Amino acid sequence: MLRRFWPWLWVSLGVLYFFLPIYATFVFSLKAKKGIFSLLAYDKVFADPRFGSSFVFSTQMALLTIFCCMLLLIPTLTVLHLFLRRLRPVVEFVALVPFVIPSVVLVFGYLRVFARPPLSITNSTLGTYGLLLAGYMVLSMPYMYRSIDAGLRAIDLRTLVEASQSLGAGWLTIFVRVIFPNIRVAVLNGSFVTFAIVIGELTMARFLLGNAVAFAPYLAEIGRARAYEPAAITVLSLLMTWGIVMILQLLGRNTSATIAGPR
Amino acid sequence: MANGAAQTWWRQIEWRKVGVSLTVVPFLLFAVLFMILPAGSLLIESFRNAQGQWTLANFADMNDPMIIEAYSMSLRISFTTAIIGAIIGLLVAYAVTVGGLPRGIRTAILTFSGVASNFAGVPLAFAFVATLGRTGIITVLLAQLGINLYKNGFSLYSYIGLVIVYVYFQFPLMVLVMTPALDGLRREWREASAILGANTAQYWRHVALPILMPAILAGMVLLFGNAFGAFATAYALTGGTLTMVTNVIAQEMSGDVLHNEALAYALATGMIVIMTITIGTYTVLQRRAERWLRA
Amino acid sequence: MSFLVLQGVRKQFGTTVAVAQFDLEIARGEFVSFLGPSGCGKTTTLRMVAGFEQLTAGNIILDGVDISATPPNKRNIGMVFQSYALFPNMTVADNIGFGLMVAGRPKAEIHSRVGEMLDLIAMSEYTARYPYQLSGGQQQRVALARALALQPQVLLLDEPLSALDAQIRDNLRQEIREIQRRLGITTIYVTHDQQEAMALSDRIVVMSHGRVAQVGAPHEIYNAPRTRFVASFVGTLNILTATVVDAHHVRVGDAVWQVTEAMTQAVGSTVECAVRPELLREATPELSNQLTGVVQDVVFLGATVRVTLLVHGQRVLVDLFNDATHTIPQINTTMTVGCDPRTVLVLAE
Repeated sequence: MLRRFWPWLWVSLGVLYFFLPIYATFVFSLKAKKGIFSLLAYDKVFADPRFGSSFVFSTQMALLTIFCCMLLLIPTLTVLHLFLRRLRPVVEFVALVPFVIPSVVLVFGYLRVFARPPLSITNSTLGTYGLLLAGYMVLSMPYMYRSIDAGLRAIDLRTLVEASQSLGAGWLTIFVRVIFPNIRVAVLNGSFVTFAIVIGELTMARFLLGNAVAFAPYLAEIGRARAYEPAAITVLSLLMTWGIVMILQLLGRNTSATIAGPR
Repeated sequence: MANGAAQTWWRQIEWRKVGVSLTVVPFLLFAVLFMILPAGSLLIESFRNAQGQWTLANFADMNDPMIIEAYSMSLRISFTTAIIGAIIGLLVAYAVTVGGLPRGIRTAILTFSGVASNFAGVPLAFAFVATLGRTGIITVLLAQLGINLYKNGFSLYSYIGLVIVYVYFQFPLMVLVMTPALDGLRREWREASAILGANTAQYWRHVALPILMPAILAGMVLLFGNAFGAFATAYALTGGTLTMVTNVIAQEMSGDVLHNEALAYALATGMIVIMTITIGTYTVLQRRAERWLRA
Repeated sequence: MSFLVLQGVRKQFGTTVAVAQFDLEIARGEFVSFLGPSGCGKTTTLRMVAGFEQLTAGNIILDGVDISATPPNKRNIGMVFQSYALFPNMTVADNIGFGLMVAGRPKAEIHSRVGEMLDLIAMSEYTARYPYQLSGGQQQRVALARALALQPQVLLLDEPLSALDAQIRDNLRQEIREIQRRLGITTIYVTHDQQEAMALSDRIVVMSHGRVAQVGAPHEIYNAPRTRFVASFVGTLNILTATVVDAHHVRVGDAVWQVTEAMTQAVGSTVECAVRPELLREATPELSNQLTGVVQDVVFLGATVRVTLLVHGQRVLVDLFNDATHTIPQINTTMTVGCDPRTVLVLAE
């Protein structure tokens, strides 16, 4: 046991760093009523209609982002794997670009290009939402790209496609019935990361939509005005993150190292 | 008959070419429109003045105490949290791999790290407010023990506070990056060095650490970039009052303070340049680490 | 006096017994192979000699000194691993010189010693290369040089050739043997490849289930295997079920065979007789032990022709020399083969 002293010490320090704030937040969230522990803060959180509406909005955006990313990336990557192998490094590089552009800079660029004439996309609500969707797609691109790419690498794509073609399947059938089911687990992996990114994303939403429409800006605003509700919300969102990571672990893979998440 | 076959053959080639190019076009179009164009526009604008003339003045204007303070703060925070995060992360990763702790501990730590490295932004800021804020649990606890943090110059809403918060998501990322690298240390290397007369210290000094060094450096660079581009955590914690590059750009977007758009473009360009160097270095180091650990 | 002695060596992992009881004496300069299937304890025994595993019981004595409790880095033993285990961050020269560097020898000495070693393995022009720039065979030669650079008292080789291609394997096998002879270094070689063991060794230790099944020179192991396990693990063997007629005769199918060594089994009991395919020949009148069967299969192997005969429901393999003047047996024809009584083994167990 003594030989393992140092490893145990380091792990304990790590675990302490990890759990202390979570424990403190939990205790803090129960202290809304003076002197006793209560769920008052949670009641207040759920009583605010903007909590529900902003969460639903962000969830919808997340699902839409996942869907659009798949629509954009799966056919492109399939074609790259099958026919345009030489172009792959180029696309791989492009998929890395979001790592290089911090989200603050990206949204700054969006406002510069799209929020003023001649485009002025942000004059309409739909245009603004569309721009936000594009931004989310860019932020999740590296993760979606990597998971779909890994999924396609893991299957013998060429043989699958040739076999389907020899059985008379068209491209639509091949995508929907053959390729997608075979890379489903990999795509799911990237989808969960994307979900977490969009739900927690502050910067894009804050500067395109202002406060309170999307979840994270709403949280930030609550955090400035209230004391105990933020702690309650943190506990809730942590439970959600935990749930997502658990599902990821069940899928048998670690979450990929994050660099452009909701920092 | 022969003619028909030839015609089909031609038709197929044409269809393929058209189909192939069409499938890649949306992706490239998307990339150009929503990645290259916005970033490129900032880049170009940073070389123009308010009248639209080409100039390097914007970069010269960066020689301003506030801008220098912003860059120095951003770089300092990124650098400090990268180093601290790397050291803690490395020690924890060492403990769960080479350290010989039970398998269950390793799984638990990796799961924690997955959660913690993604537990950032607004909720993380809130968690630390509840812990080390003015009325945070730990602050109150220490006050009862007679240690008043805030009277002794500590503040969560300052540089030191931000470092503590950042390290929370930095070190788990290092754990995730270093665990595979440490797993890549083969038992045979340790045995070979032992049978050749090396003791444990010599093994670490001459074999294990040099083999791990590219991975460690890559991890640090990754952590640096991770902190440098971060905005949400600091924003939620301090409301953007700390002078950091991201905050200055954000204030420019909100229309406060600077009122010099061109300078903001130059700031953004500076960020892209630093991030590009960071990711480039990371890629090179990572490739080197993989080459050694695979050999 | 023996140079390296293993006395009652035993190794248990929890309740699993990896090595049950291992006794062996190795002379100075001898080349001994541990041969056996995977999981027989040969590698564990080697690792105990190296010091990577603690002995559960027994002693290891090297040149009169009990080294059972000595840590690996104080044993002065060289080892070559199956996976080469070269340090990827060092050049060929640094790898070879590692042991000398750690021992704090002067630079000049390290340099000249590394040079000698590179000459020994004929790789002088590769000094500055990194392991990932070398082929598997080259890496293993560097590993060998690294192990020998410190002039160890004993050299251990743990399946050093099993990760290599057939052609390179044969060349390197030859090279290992030559270097070992030239240096006269006491060597233990672990392998599951019987050809390798026979080509290299002065003596072979055949192991099974953590025990020594038989120790002997290659020809003894091959020609006079003591157990059915040894006989079947080393080379190919026909095993025929037979009934004892008297101390020197057994009935195999219709035929009565003569056996040179007197049997102790009761008359009428069932025994197993073994004969190697290459010792069966087309029958001639002077061959007393004969078998007649139907040809099932004929495989042309170049130097030999392998014929499968079906004799009373038992398959019998016969290796005939390929002789251009003879016709090859046809499938479904009847064939009679025979062997010398001295080549028939009656197996224990």
